[in-house]
Amino acid sequence: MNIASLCTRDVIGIRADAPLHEAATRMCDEHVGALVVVTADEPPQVVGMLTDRDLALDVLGRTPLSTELRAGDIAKYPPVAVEGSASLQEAIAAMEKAGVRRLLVVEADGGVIGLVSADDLVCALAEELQGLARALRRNIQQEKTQRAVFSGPGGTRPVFPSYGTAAMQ
Amino acid sequence: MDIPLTAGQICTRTVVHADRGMMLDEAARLMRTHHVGSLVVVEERSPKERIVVGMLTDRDIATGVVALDRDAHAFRVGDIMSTDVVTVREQDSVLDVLAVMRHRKVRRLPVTGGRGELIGLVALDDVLALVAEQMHALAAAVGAAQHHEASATVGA
Repeated sequence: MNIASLCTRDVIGIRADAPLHEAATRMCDEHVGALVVVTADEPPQVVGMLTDRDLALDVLGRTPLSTELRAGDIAKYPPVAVEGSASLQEAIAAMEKAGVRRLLVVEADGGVIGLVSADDLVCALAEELQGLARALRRNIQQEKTQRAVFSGPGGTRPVFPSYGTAAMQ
Repeated sequence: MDIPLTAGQICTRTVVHADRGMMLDEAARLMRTHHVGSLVVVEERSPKERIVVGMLTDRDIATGVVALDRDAHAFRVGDIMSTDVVTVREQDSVLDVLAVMRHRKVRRLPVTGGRGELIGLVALDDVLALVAEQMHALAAAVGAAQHHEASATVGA
């Protein structure tokens, strides 16, 4: 399973020169906790990331208060990114290293694919674990139906001093 | 053996709290200083007994004040906090905590003692940490069983 297969593809953006209330309104309307901050170029370029926490703490928690701030002024640069081909483990390592809970997911050439959050990773891991538990349970059931209980004496255990090549299909 | 399986055992005991009358910019500074995403809003009955009356998250501030482009100095915690707070009791099991989080769609729950007083805060992250720890213990048990089997069959 790679990150491209489990990330959110709906990435909501905001221009770096947009006023902060516009960024907050967009997060509210789109029910997201983070926006990518983009340039005015066409196509736009993702230069940073802005979270609801940034909006709350870096606007109100800052002294003196400034009302002229723009999205680009409090965004975090550059966005922490992983390639879509990265594994779950690589994404976890990237989050741990950067101390963030969201990553931008990109193509090898830098094209944006989506966003992946720590929550997405938890869900993916839980699903894998559940799949493994199911496989183990099925294995026991199958064994019960296919294999008779063995009661005869044990034979000699075949041990090969050196293994040859395996027959491949 | 004392395996933590109740809300009281896994919660954070030092809860960053505020009262309704606190100015919002001070609340934001408090979250920033203590690196937390939420404040438990309390009413103090006595210095040791605080009753939960609300919760305020960083997102509440972003969507409730910044989005409206209003002057943050005009707001107090009580104006935008959520008042329909769900709490769990300290003896509630971790499974109860998870069920409440799932049904009420919240990821943080204040934990209360016998008289309804605030004693801690349990977050989804705390439950995840416990599960991860137990997974590790499970892996160790698998490893121990393999080791046991290997040493038990020698010379058989």
